[in-house]
Amino acid sequence: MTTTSPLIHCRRLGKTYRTLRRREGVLRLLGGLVKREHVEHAALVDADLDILQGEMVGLIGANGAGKTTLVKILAGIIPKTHGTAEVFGRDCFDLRDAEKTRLSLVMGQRSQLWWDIPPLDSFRLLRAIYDVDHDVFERRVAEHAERLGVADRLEVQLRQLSLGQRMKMEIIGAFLHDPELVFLDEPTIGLDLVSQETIRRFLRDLNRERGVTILLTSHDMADIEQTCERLLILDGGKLLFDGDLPDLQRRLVGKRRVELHLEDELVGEPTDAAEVARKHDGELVEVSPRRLVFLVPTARSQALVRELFDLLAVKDLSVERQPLEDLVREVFRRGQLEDAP
Amino acid sequence: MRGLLSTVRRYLTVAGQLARIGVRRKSQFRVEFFSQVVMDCFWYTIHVTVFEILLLHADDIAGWRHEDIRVFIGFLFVSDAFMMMWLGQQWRFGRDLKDGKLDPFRVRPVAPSFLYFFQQFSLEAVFNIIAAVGYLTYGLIRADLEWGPGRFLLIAWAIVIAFWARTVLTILFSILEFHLLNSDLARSLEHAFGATADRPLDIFARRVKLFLLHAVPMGFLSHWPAALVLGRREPWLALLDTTWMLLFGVLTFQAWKLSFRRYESAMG
Amino acid sequence: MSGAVAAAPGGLRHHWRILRSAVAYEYKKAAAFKAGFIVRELIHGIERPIIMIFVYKAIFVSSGAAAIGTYGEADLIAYMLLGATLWKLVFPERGLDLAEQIFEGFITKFLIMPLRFFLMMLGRFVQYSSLQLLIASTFWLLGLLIAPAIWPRPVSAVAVAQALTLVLLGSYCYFLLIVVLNTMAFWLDVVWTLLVMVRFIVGFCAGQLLPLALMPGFLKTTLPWFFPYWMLCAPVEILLGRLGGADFQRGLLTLIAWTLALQLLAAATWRRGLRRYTGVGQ
Repeated sequence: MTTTSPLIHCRRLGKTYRTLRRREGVLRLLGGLVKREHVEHAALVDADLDILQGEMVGLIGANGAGKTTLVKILAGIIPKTHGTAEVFGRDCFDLRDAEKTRLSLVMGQRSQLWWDIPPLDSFRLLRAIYDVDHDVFERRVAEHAERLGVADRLEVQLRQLSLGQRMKMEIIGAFLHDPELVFLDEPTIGLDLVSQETIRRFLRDLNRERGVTILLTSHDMADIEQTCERLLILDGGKLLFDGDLPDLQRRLVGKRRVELHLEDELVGEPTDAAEVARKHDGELVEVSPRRLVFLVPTARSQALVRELFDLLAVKDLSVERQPLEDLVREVFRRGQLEDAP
Repeated sequence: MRGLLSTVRRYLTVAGQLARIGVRRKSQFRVEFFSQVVMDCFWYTIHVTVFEILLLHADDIAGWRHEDIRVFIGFLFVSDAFMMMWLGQQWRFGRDLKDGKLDPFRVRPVAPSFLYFFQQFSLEAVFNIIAAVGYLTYGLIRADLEWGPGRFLLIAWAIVIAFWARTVLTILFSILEFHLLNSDLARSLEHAFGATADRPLDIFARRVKLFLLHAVPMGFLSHWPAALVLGRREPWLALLDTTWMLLFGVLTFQAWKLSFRRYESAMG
Repeated sequence: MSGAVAAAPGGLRHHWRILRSAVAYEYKKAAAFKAGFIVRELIHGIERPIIMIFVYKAIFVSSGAAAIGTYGEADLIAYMLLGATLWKLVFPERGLDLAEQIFEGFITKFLIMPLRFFLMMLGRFVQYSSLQLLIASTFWLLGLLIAPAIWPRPVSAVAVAQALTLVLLGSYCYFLLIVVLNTMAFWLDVVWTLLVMVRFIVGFCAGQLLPLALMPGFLKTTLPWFFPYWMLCAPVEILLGRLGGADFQRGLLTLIAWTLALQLLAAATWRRGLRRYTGVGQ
């Protein structure tokens, strides 16, 4: 469910951190007490971004790419150094209580609930903070806990819950006041596959049913691929890509992954097959006795498959879109994206 | 007016929930509970002992007789008990600020200073309150005062202002941490100035006394409340003092709010 | 057998190298933040004795007496000023973060290293004491420059040596007691209350606010059996010439006995605690 109302608006947004330059040696160390040298580090450089109401946006980047910095600026936690950053039409760093009531934040690596009490008690505090009606609160807690499969853990101390259960509780807390905009900073970090899938489904459902706008950062490409329609790629503080997955593939001159299962075992190196792949601007990326995997530009995949069928006794074949992970790796490798032809 | 009432109601509800969380937490950690109670017993005992020993050698200290000193200590204990009950989080402020642990407080629709400093309700401080009120009552009974509704009103007035002053001073000292990160300034200054509240301000020269009443109002924790109840402060002056203390508090909260804009979280 | 097994590093030189590194590391930590360094190391700990000077002045004015106990007004002021100076050498109860490291499981990394963890803590003590010696000397010299008329001077160089010996040894006893209390983190959920409690008691018994001469009779006879008295009150009185060589010897013996007892206790609680250590934090 996407409308045209902009919720987040950034222009030439930048953030520079200033850190102390460490010096070696006792004299220099003592000298540092008098005169200090600082190093400036640009965590975010001239980012332009608009996010509309109801969008689910994935933010990808390596460690130190500037993802968390961007989320913190947008959530109003830290000020920008320059540029424009607005949420609900207001400077992010000057949000009033009225706007704060409309957003929420989940940080995967930092709990916002009380460590040594049951989550339900923390939720009651959040209910008081956000002034949620009692019946609505009871209904939402029950509903969210049911969906996330933790209804029977609400009265257990947070510290006694598993990592996955704790994260689910954090997410329930974040959605209790029915926010319009939710920032999730690596919510599935360290979780098992089942918990990851449960959380992704929960986010998708909330987005579809209530039109919640979600900005999700993650290292796990599956998170982004399975939940977000739109993708932002950050590297070295620069926004390298802003668009959907097909667009990313198109602009990277997307590739196909061709996997062949052979009738007979290979004898020796498959040099002929590798030669054919090269001829079509592709490459042979994996070799095992009865299996070969090729990466080839989408436009050349059909021709490659035809030639390989002529060359080898093929038992089975699969042609797949290149995984998002590979695409992102490609973006980082290139450092920038040329416009689509 | 309705908006104000609704805000007050919401803040009281939040405070109620924080108290509930505090009770729930502490009921799980009995050792923590009892060790804090014992620690406070030591603090009370040593404080009273020092004064008792000093008063073995003199009839009064700067005009405060033995019976006056008891009332003074009573108010010191009461305002300290309030701090132990509600403001324990202040000891972690410097570190939390340095470690970037204030993020959640920036995104909540409640005053961050309130939510941060009042987040650790301490159940064991109920004991402090009982002990402090007990000692204050003992001091007041021994003080040979004339009793009537006016006296009770004065006591209530003194206690409310002492609590208000304790909150304001906690916020005031923490402001420095924003400007000198990891300096431990809040704690160090609280210690340094806190020591001045442990003795009647009349031991100091007039200018120092005025400074400790109106610039860094430590005197409102113990000296002023005791002076008010013992009739050592004229009512009209006390009214002026109260007005100043309230205004000082409002200014302090605004300064904290402005300083919180310097918060840089943790890099990432 | 020709298999080359790397010899485990050991011996005094190895321990000395570790201690030196630990001291350097602690200095770097202390100096990491300018304001913190100045406040924590320079200002801390002098406020209460200074305020007591005003209390004593008020008592002398109120009572009109020439002396309280065996102390005249000038003597009491001198006691408080020297007490404030020497207290700077006393290791602070929050000077170690061992309990926190145990709670959070941070000591694990040291346990698998070929070193005695105690050396890391000792590094902190050495760093603190060496720096505070400099700071206390500066503080005393500044006082002498600003207020030469009232600022107390030690009776002799020997008295200074005796007083410093007692203070540093007493501070080491206090440091060991703090180590013992920190190791309680292996058993308890919280130890800061114990540390604060001990600070109240040690401060009182050391005569930080009241010299022993002002205390009631039973305290006068009891307190000299404990290390805090020899850590502060006695050294100040040695500097003022109120105690002599025989007192110094008694103090030295008392402190050595306490050091041995506390060293054994610290080793025992550490060893027993490690058996309960799970190596996990929150």
